[in-house]
Parts: sequence; structure tokens; C-alpha cells
Amino acid sequence: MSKIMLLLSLVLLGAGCTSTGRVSATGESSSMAVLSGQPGDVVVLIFGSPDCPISNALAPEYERLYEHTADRGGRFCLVHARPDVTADVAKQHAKAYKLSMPIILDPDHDLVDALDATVTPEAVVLVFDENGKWKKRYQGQINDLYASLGNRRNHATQFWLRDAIDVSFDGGEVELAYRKPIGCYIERRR
Amino acid sequence: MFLAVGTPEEAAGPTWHGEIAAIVATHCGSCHRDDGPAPFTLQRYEDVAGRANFIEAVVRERLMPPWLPGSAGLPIRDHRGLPEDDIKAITDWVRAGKPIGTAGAEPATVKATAGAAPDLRLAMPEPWIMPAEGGENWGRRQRDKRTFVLPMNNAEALKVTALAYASEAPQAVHAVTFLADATGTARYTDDREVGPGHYMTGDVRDRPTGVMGGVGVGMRSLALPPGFHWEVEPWSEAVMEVHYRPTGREQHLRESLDLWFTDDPASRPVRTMVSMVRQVSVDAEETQRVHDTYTLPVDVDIIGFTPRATGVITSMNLNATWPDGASRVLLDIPDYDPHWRQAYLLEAPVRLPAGTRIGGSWVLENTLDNARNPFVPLERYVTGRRTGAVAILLHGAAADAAEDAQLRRWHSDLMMARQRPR
Ligand code: HEC
Repeated sequence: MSKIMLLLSLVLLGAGCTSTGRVSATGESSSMAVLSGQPGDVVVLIFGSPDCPISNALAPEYERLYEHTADRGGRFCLVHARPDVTADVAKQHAKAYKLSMPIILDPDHDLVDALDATVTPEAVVLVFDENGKWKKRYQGQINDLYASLGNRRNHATQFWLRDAIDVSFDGGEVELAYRKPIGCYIERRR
Repeated sequence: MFLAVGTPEEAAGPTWHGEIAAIVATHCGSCHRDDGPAPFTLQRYEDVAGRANFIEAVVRERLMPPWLPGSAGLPIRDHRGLPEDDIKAITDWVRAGKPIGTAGAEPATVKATAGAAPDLRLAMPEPWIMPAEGGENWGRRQRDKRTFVLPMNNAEALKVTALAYASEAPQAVHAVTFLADATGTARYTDDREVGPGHYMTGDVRDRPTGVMGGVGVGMRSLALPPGFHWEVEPWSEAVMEVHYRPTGREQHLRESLDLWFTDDPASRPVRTMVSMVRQVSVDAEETQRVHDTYTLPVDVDIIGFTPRATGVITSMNLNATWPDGASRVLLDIPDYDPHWRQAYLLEAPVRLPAGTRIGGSWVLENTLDNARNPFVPLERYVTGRRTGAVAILLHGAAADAAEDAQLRRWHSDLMMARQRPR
């Protein structure tokens, strides 16, 4: 990305998924800001929850994927889907789990609704088209650590999100664009 | 036309204050409490309403509350399970929009019962640091276990009647099995690894860990029925094989074990009889059933069981056939999950006469349909262990204390015979 574009996107996005290790201010404008971008941008969102063990188990993988996405010039955010998560709770959680990516609170479920997220953890990979509109490249399960609800393996052997991120940067289509995620249900507000 | 008289709330189904709070307090509160073994507290209306659809799904699919034994076996103490009516009440409540209802009496909250102070407390002097993530170890074994060895410094033999385990990371530690070792073997193994504990199993020669039972997620203490004890030889070390599930961050494990003793001369020592298959070999994609039988040499009062198996095993059971040919299921685990295993104590001891044949059977599913198969991608599953690649430990005491020595000798011979290739 050129310097000028980087600057531009920083201005456009505000708190939406750019500033490292910071919890964005709550409110519609900030959580939705992540859905604007420049043509070619790749944005990776993980819906998570500080008290969901299925999401927390993947914290080290989130951090690795964040670094990987940043290295390739993309944006990566953790979105807390539970309405009761305050900025303080999010900060403490990030510290305990050694998470340094930007974090978004979504208390009104603007992002949950816009992207139709159902559980935590659930990943969404967005790319922005020539008109600056987002398109979903991948949504769903991050890896195969969980075979089903309640059934966890010792370690993951398939890394679907990582693969989807790479394919998206390379401009391709993800073979299976939706993999039903396994996790803690998001209690929808509407 | 007249409408039925009644407030909308009466007409509607269950409410939080009416039914749901009590169901949750009784069936979920023991684990889903502050500092408990489960991830979030389920106590207040907001706790439950804020994840009501999730809760409805896990109770409907019978994932919660967790409980492995089926109903075919002998009645087990502290049995868990949610009655059909309660599941329906939760479903109806969620569908009706989680009505709160009118507050009545405060729901009973589960409080830890304060018992007598322990006679001995063993604690790790320094913590072991549990990794943030699980992984594969050599030989594709499950890595997520660690054995700790704690000296008991007992100059005399001890009669243990109860034990209680406490974890510094209760949400990470699920199953822990116990053994007392006076041979120095566990200490020797432990000393060969740097830092607290060691990776090897807690078995000592042909004695499996679990000889002194084991605790699980919702049950961190074991109290033997009156008149029974576990025998601990002088200068023993307590061996604890700890199975953990990493939580996504490094955590300290500084575990402790409380013990209670008796000096009642009439108390009988509990012996552990092992149903096991020493070696298994299951091809990729293969499902196999394996069996084992032995015959009791003397009358035995059985008090409980400790199952031992990995996630390749999907079901197991233990049967007894009386000398007169009558038979019954002692323990039935139709859908085995190593994550929820623990020792099971019977509601009351059951006498099995000399000549009773004990049969153990296990189903191994080395397939991808078995969602708990830890060994993915599939390959041939071959494993062997002196204490059994799969096992169910049966805890009991000779009905006549004078026959205890005979029971022990018979069992030691049985274990020796099993070391010979078949
Ligand atoms: C024996 C202890 C215990 C009891 C009783 C219990 N739970 Fe759980 N529950 C757990 C543990 C531990 C977990 C964490 C997940 C795991 O270990 O597999 C959990 C996880 C959950 C989850 C998240 C799903 C998941 O797989 O992580 C929900 C929802 C839940 N429990 C609801 C309930 C409800 C509702 C009840 C009562 C009807 C209940 N639990 C009773 C121990 C318990």
C-alpha cells in the first residue's frame, strides 16, 4: 500500500481496526468504520468473547494470524460480540492472553448483524472491491481444534482461516467460503 | 366471550423466578460459579438470559450438565443429569423470550460445604507453568498431562478415608488420578526431569494411577464409604497424574491434595482390581471391540470404579456374571469422553461372591466420525501399557478381612500373567 493510501485509510477508519493494541471507543461509528476501506484492502475480523473457552483457546493463533496479516499489509481485528464487554474488560483480557491486535467493541451488534456472525470464535475475511465496497471472501471456523461443540482435539491440524487469508491476499477465491463455526452462541439482540 | 382469568405471566410458561433460577442453581451452579471449574458464572438472571440460546442448545443436546455413566449400571453417588421436564422448561422459557417473573424466595446458591480440617495437606512447593496451547508429543501421545510426586513423609502406614484435590487453574485441569508409591520409582522418574513434575504417566510398574481413584471436573473430592480405607505404606509419595486442557494463556499449576485418615482397626483396605487389555492395534478407519475377563477368588464388596482410556475409545462397560449364571451391568459408559472422566463411587457397596466373573469391554473407533479421536490424521493406532492400553479399575475390599492377603496375591499374579504375550 502506498504511503498516501495508508494515510487516507487511517483517516477514513479512525478507530476501526488500525491502532495496535488499543480498544476502540464504543459506539456505532467506530465498530462500523471497519467496513470501509480502499480497493484491494484485506480485513480479517474475529468475533470473540472474553469468557468463551472455545475462543480463548485460540488466543495464541489469533496473535500469530494478526502478525501474519499485518506482514502482508492487511488489517486484523478482534471484535467482542458480547454487549456487556467494557473497554476495561477487553483490555484486561488482551493483557492476560497477550493479544496485541486492535480490538473493537460491538455492544449494539452492528457488526454482528452486518456480517451475520453466529458464534465466538467466528472469522470473517473481507476484501474491498474497486468501488471500495467489502466482499466476504471467507467466513466461519478458524481451525479444526474443535471437531464439534464439546469435542476438542489436542491440537489443530487444519488451518482454514490462515489459508483463506493467504488466498485472499493472492486475489483468489477460497475453495469453501463458509465453514460452519463451532463456538459459544452469540445471543442476538434483534 | 370471556377470556380465561389470569395475569399474562401465569398464563405463560416458566419464568426465571418461577422455575429456571432453581433448575440452574441445582444443576449448573456447582460448576458455573466464581472460581469454579466452568467458564462463566450462571447465577443471576443476566448471566443466564445473556446466553440463553446457547444454554438451551447445550442442555437439549445433553452436553450439559456433563455425566458419562448410562442408566444400565449400578446406582452411582452424586449422579448428575437434567430431567426431561427441566430441559423442556428451559426450552419453553427461552422461546417465550426469557420472562423474569416475580421474585419470590431467593434461589438457593451452592455453597462449599466446610468439612473437618484435613489430617494432611500436600502442596506443590513451586508451580509448574502450563503452556498456552496443547500439542503433539513423541509417539503421537497426548501431551496434555503431567505427573506430580509429593512426599508424604509418613513414618507409619496410613489409612486414607477421603481426599480432596485443589487446582490453581481449575478451568484447565479436568481429570486427576492418584496413587501412593513407596518404591521410590515415581520419585526417580520425577528427578530425571527439570522443574516440577514429569511428562511420564503416574503408573508405577504394574500399578496404574487411579489405584486411589481420581477426581474430575465437577467432583474434586472422594470420600470412601464408612468402614473402608486406602492403605498407604510408610514413607510413601503421593502421585498425581494431572490431565489438563490449555486455556490459551500460560497458567501456573500449584496443586494441592488434602487427605483424611482413620485409625479404626475394623476398617477394611480397598484393593483395586484391573480390567484391562494390554495392547491394542486398530487400523485407520477401523472400529474394534476388545474384551477382558477375570474371576474373583473371594467374596468382595465393591465400592466404585475408575475408567482409564483416551478419546479413541468411544464406549466401555463392566459386567458381572454370578456363579449361578445371573449377570448384570456394573458400569456402563455408552458415550465415553476422557474430558469428563472421574472415579465413580456407588451409592452403596455391592457384594460379589467368589467365582463371579468380571468382564470389561471397550470399543475403539479409530475413525474421523469419532470426533474425540485425538490422533488425526488417521493412522494405525498401536499402543501397549503394562497397566492396560484401556482399563477400568474396580475398587473393593475382601468381604472377610482375613481373605485380604489372598485377594492381593491373586491380583498380583493376575497382573504378572498379563505381562506374558498371549
Ligand atoms: C460438572 C460441572 C458442570 C456442570 C454441573 C455444568 N457445567 Fe457447563 N461447563 C462445564 C465446563 C468445565 C465447561 C467448559 C467446556 C468444557 O470443559 O468442555 C462448561 C461449558 C458450558 C457451556 C459452553 C459450552 C462449551 O462447550 O464450552 C455452556 C453453555 C454451559 N456449560 C452450560 C451449562 C448449563 C446450562 C448447566 C446446567 C444445566 C451446566 N453447564 C452444568 C462444567 C459444568
